[in-house]
Amino acid sequence: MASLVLKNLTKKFGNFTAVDNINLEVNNGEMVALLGGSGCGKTTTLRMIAGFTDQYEGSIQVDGREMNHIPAYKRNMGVFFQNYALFPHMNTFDNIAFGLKMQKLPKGIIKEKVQNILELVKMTGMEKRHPRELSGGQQQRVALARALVTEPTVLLLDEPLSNLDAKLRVEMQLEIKRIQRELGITTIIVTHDQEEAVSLADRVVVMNAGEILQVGKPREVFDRPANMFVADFMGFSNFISGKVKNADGSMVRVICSEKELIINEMNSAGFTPGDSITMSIRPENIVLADKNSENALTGTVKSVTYKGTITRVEINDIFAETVFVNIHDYEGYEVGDEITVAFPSQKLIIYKNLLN
Amino acid sequence: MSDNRIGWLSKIITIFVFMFLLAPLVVIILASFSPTPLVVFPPKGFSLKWYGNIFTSSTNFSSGFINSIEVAVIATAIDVLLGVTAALSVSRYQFKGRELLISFFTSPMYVPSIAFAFVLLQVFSQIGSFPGMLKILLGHMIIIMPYIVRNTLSVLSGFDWTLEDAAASLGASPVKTFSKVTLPLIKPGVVAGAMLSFLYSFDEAVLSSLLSSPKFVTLPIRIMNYMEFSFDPTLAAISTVLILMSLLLIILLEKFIGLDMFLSN
Repeated sequence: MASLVLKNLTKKFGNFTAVDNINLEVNNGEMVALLGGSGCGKTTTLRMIAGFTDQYEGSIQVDGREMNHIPAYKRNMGVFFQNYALFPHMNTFDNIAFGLKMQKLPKGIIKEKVQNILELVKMTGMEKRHPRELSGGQQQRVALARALVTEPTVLLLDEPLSNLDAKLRVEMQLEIKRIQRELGITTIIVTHDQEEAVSLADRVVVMNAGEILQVGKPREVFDRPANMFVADFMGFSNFISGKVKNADGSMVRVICSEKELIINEMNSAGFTPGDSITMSIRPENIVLADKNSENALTGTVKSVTYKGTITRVEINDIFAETVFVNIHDYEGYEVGDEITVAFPSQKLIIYKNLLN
Repeated sequence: MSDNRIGWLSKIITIFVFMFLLAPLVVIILASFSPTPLVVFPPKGFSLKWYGNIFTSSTNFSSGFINSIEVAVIATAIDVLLGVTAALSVSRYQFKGRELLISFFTSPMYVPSIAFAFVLLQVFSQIGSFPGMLKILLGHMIIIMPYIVRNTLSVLSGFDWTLEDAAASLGASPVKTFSKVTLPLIKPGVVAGAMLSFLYSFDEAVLSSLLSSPKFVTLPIRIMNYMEFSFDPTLAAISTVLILMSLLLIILLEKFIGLDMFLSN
């Protein structure tokens, strides 16, 4: 159990800056997700914390102790690898006991600890199996047990759920959360899946091109992305440009393609009439409505895609941009039909355009 | 053609391949028990006198045997250390000239051994007095190196290096990581390479014939010398002994390391 501090952390590979001046504090027992697309620097950051990557700038501190010149094998961090990295020549017991043997603990204690951790990950009775005799989910549990059994100060999870099928993923998500809570271990989880990040972590760090774009509680990041990049990454697929008409109290009135909309915005003082803006909303937050509802606008259906639990509808002729809408109980509308949808003022977010 | 007929065909081919491989060995073994100096078929009786002749012959086979073992063991042991280290470094790190280095390590395979032996002989004679044993040892160390490097490289080509990171994160020092994780996993390639190298060195004749000195002669050279004067079944007897020893080596390896490791992975 420990706190983790990253200060001005920078890693360059030749001319390429993989991680660019990152600052982050992780509290004792907290679970933080590093979220970003491939090449955003999240895995490099994790590898630096683990000590696999040397020659970086800045500092990594665990409980105030500088880690920079401490090799990986003396850092006491539990690492869960994306491909599990189980030792293929050892059975489950030996894989989990490896770290304990390195600590030169007595055999009896090793046995007891392995038994306890196997119980925690629900793998009791599998001691003699080799990794190749285990299913993906089982291998993952063993990898998690192996990373946890040495009681590391920090647990690092690299894309822990990416190799699992959808059903197992949900199950393991709950499992990882349960185990992390039970042990109260400080955890960093690296993922490219926004849903995984917001459901697992206490705080989410959104990264792009080696930089941190936003740090916040899952709800904040999910509902109030700090900028358009984060919004796009968090699933706001509608970006509609317009101008501010007026800003008043917690409301901003905007004109987009000659249509007037009201947006609920706490920082309305930041906007002045005439500002060029982009407003954004999730496809699932746009609703079918009648013409007198707030922010209700009418357009024509361009295409309809049935996706099982939702139906994705593309609507033209409201704004210059096509509007994407996800509707749960979709019926009736065909391509070319007129359709009226509302953009709830609470769900709309706006960003000032930087270029003008 | 029905599956059944393909089955029969493949069985017949398999039998022929086995016969092709084993027939010479059978002939040698049968010949070694021949009572007559000239090997005839079918043999006219049974005799062990050629086995006795191995030890009583004026050609000192036993000293040649010991010399050959000595060279093969030492050359293989040193080359395993050098070759495995070389293979590890070229497969772990990406650097300029990596491919070139691999070609360099395996180049002795592509040079005709007679040409190589000639060059080596020139070099040694320029240096002057050089013990015969050392000359052959150095020569063998160079020509067997490719077998160890190649076999180790082939197991390393699919090696998951994150396993070393995993070991480090669990508190294993680099030395422990190598001995507990890397080495056990590359062992099949290392052992296969070492076996090939040992056998190559043990019956290497071209290089040894040019480099051996009167004081240090290996078994293949003794055999060649003997063949110049007589062609009796003593050589068949020696071959039979060597076949038996190879068999024993394989059985021992199977027992202590397990040859099934060549099949797994």
